[in-house]
Amino acid sequence: MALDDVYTEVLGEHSRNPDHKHHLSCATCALKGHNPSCGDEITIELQIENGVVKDAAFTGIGCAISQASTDIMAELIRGKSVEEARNLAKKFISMIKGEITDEDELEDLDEALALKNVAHMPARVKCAVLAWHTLDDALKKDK
Amino acid sequence: MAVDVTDLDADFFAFSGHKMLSPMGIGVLYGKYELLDAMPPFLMGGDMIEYVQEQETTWAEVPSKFEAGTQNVGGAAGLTAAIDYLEKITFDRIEAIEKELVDYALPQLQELPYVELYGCDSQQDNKTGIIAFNIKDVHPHDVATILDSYGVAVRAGHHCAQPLHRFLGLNASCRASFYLYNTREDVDRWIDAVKKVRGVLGYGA
Repeated sequence: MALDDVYTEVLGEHSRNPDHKHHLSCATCALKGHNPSCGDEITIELQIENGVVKDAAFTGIGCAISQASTDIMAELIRGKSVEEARNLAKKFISMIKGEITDEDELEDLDEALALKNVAHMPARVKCAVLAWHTLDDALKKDK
Repeated sequence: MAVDVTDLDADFFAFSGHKMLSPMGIGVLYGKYELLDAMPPFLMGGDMIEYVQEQETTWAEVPSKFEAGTQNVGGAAGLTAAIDYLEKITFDRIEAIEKELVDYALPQLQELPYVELYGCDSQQDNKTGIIAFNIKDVHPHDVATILDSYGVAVRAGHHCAQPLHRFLGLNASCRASFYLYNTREDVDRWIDAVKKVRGVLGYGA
């Protein structure tokens, strides 16, 4: 696996300058996720109204892969229904586990597709999926 | 590093085999005989009993008392061979090799403004062949992945020392460890790779 297959420009951009790394003033729920073995720790904040994710943001620390993955996720789920957001999380996790490889099927993951090659790096899988597992947990609780 | 448990008067002393060229999954727990003899077994199984009656049992002598069940024979043979090998080379020689590499690497790293070093402020006599570091703006796990792609293996994370990292105000760190098989060429390759890390993530030097 070549380095730039993983550390893509999209990943670099989102990890250096995340758009959604801040607190939400009207968050309706917040959930912390962490990978104890590596120290990645993020808190996802969501503003959910009438079953729709109006806004999403995060705070915390972690590697470029986890930070970029979280930022891309926040962007992707804004405006989506809770149901859609959970489906995207499931799809992303399946992509990283290597269960779904068909690009057409993954199309609605949009920028998150840039993380697809993490599937070939077992040591970094946890970094990529942290935010999406946390999101799924948060939405499960919100129901 | 040579250690004399008698001189230290240690009650117990543990070390892992994989840090001294042995196969993984084996190590040594040294304990004073009186203490081990007074301790109950922590695991039941084959070869750790003396007499078994219906209502009572007596235990085998130390160390069998603590070695219930099937032994890791391959590991034990490997660890013994590793110890013999290292003793033939001598710990003094190994320490000298490590010190030489640390002395070669440190000044080069100190010249890089984006490299932060820990525990490397002075050339103390007891500095071992380990260099703990971080690269500005880049998380240790990304550093490790990038160095790995250049054929250099370092460890990244908490290194079983979360309280120390908290004390130092760090989230995590990288750790390069030299051993008797490392060379100056290895150090060169590592430092060349270190210089490329920030660029991979789109940061300027």
